[in-house]
Amino acid sequence: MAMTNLDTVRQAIELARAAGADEAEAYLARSRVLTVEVGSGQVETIKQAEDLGLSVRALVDGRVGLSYATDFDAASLRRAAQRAVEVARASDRDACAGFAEPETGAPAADGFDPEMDRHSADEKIERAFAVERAAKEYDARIVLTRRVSYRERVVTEALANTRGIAVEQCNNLCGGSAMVLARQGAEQQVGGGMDTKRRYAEFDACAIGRDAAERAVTMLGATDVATQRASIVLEPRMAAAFLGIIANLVRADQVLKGKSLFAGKLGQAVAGAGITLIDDGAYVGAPGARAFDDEGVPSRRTVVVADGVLQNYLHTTHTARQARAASTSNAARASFKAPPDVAVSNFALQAGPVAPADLRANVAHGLWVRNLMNLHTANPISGEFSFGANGMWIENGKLTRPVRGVTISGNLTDLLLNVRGIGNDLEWQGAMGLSIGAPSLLIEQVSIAGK
Amino acid sequence: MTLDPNVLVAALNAGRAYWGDWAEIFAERRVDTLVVLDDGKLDKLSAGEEAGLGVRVFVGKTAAYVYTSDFSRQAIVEALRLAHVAANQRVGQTGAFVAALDRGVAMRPLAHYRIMPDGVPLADKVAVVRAADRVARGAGAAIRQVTATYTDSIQDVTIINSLEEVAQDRRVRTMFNLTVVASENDVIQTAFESTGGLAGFEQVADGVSERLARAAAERALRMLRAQPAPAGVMPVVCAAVAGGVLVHEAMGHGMEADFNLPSKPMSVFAGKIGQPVASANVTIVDDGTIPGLNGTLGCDDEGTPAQRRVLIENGILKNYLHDRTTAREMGVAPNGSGRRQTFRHLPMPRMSNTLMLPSQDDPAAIIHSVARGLLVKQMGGGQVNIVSGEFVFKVQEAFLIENGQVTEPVRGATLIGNGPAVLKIIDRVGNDAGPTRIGMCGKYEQGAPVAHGIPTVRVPEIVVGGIVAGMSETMR
Repeated sequence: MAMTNLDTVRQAIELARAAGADEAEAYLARSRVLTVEVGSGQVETIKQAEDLGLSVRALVDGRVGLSYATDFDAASLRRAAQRAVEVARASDRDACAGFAEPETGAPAADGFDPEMDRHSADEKIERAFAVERAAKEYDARIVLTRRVSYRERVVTEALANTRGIAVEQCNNLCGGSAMVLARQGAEQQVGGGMDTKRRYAEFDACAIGRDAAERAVTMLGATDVATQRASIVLEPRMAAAFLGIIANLVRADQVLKGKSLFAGKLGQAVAGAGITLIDDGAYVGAPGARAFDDEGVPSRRTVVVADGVLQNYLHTTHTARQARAASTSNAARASFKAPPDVAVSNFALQAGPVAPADLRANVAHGLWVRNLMNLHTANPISGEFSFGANGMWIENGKLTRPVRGVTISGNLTDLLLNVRGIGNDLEWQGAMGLSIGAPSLLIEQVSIAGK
Repeated sequence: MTLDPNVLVAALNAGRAYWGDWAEIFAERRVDTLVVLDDGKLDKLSAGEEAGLGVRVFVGKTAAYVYTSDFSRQAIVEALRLAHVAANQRVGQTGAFVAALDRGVAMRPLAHYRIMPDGVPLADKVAVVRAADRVARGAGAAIRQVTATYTDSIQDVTIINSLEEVAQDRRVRTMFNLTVVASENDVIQTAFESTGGLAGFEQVADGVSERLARAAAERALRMLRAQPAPAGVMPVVCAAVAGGVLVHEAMGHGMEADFNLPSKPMSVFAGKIGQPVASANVTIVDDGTIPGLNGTLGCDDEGTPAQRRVLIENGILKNYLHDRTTAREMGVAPNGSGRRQTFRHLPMPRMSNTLMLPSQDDPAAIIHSVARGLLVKQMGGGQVNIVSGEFVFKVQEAFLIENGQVTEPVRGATLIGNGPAVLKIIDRVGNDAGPTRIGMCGKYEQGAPVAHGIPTVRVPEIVVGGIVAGMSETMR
């Protein structure tokens, strides 16, 4: 008889116990992917696959070890279980090590969209063509597209541990992307569009194509500006990029290790008035929704910052024990091979009252930021950042000309405290298990380096 | 599971009906170990094994890719069938669209490692990170935090295709890195060091991790006394020790052939083979054959032997980096750049070890030539927009140059420029070859281990992003 996913994870924890583990946990992920890339009206690549992986964590004498396998026969599971025990024996004893406890009566977020599977691959290929057509029809200066795609992913996860958790969930997502090139004379500019949705019906192929095209065309003729200190308005996508960095500051593991600017600041003002940050994995309207996190803890809503004041950090079972707090259901595995770490689920800066155009109308001189480069180099410990930026220059409240080749630099602490306006245009960016929502933001006192 | 080419060839033959114009199996098994020490304790420890295979079928220009972790003949034939159906879904132009290899090319020996990491006890790997932690913390009272990571991987690949080409490669990689955090009087600075290569445990053994820990700790302490970097346009000298992120971002990516196809010319370097694209003292190679370096391979992930490609020679653009698909479209031989992160990914042109070669200037004289500017001693991460040529990279360690002398350390600098423009204005290239540094290059969501290096070079003007004094105005 075929084994269910729950049978497999239960077998893996039994094998770990048999190999010498005091306690054990097994996590299984089975994913199905479809990616279609088109160009010039032809299908360039189609990728489809079923992928599986299982990892075992063993607790031996207060030490934790992890191993994994991509084959689920008894011999492979036994080998992974034994390896997890061996690895645990080489690790350090940790009084806070251990696995999640079962919770009763927790609400389950079910964001699975059965609609996605009811549509044919042919129709989905057609959606990718629609992205490309929309981009090309936007403007005669759009000469090329690249990586125009439709993609979807269905992931089934099962988790069991020796504390009594045995859970399973299935989530799916679809989305698309486009890179579009606009040319005028010798100059060429690129624009990118991308969207991810939980509901197939909400996926708007044309909007992705138009967005990419608009970005490319708008940047034609861009020049730099003089080095100065000025205000910036971040569009929602760029505000979300910054929020992705801020998300590292509220991770309890980083806080406990003294590697966050927010360490020791609970109850203090860390952001401008009106800024509220909430993490909510149970919110099914956003891509990161899930019934439980990667340790099997049911999803919940956590207010991280309320009106500028830091309220809570985000926890896994391990950091919660260290801090004598409760898990906030923020355990995430980068892949089935990786141990759980703290990460946001659906993390959003709540929308404000101002229309984005009105945010810009308040700026005497400044940059409407529409693209940032080198985001991965921000330093979450010192808070220092310096990114390549482009966008549109704002003069006396009006958009005047495209700008490229400048950097914006500063410190995350100042940046958050200098937010002077919050847009009403919240957008979600994201992927399965992790998404970030943000509205436009007006920020003062940013260093802009140019000519 | 098996990586035996005979078994895979038999499975490929069993699925002959589904080959389309060209079919390929990429089979992979890898064993990884990860050791992370953080906050003075072992934070993550894992070891495990994964295996899978990807089947690629071309029908005309359309490629279909199906991957699985099931190695049975039945599963492979089913993957071929699915790929064939998918590839036939929207067929444009037909005819083989993937370049064959020149059969005269022989595979080179692959054993670049001395100590196989899978024979090294886990305790010895743990000792590498503990030693680094001890040394870094001992460097000064201001050292607050140390994160040290050791990884090793043994990746075995077999690549076979319907042209009856068979290639096998074993990539043994060992890597160590650490981040040190220093803080004093409300100033926090971090410093990073890393080493890694197509090498065994010898890459990190015999005090290597301690030496890197000392270097990182000392830099973090130095940077505590650094002033914020100036902002604006100024001359910049990149020291040979700085590593070649400049070359990788500003030049290398733009020379990947998928950005330069005649049918899809996206890169600023498209259509410029044989033309001057840089000053005459600039020669850049991408060389996947240098023993032990991080980007080195026996063969690429399409079975093409690794090669040394001259990209720019004395300022003239010579070659792009090709996988089989781009090579076919441009009518050249594939040159060993088709890489993929895992069996779950399609190959694409990637860099390996990208080096700017030394020229004739005296490094000290290059520094003396600058009245006021920046000396970059270590680069950090970067990014490039291949369409506009704009690149940006972080500077980990820099000093001011005033009247030809190296003076104060500065922190937080970022350089932003235009690749083609910078290539043309580089006016001094040193006669010193620097050590290579390693990186994990990201492109379209795939990572690839690479290395890069430069001699001392001077860029006479480039935008330095830093902190600007003054106030911004907001209308109320």
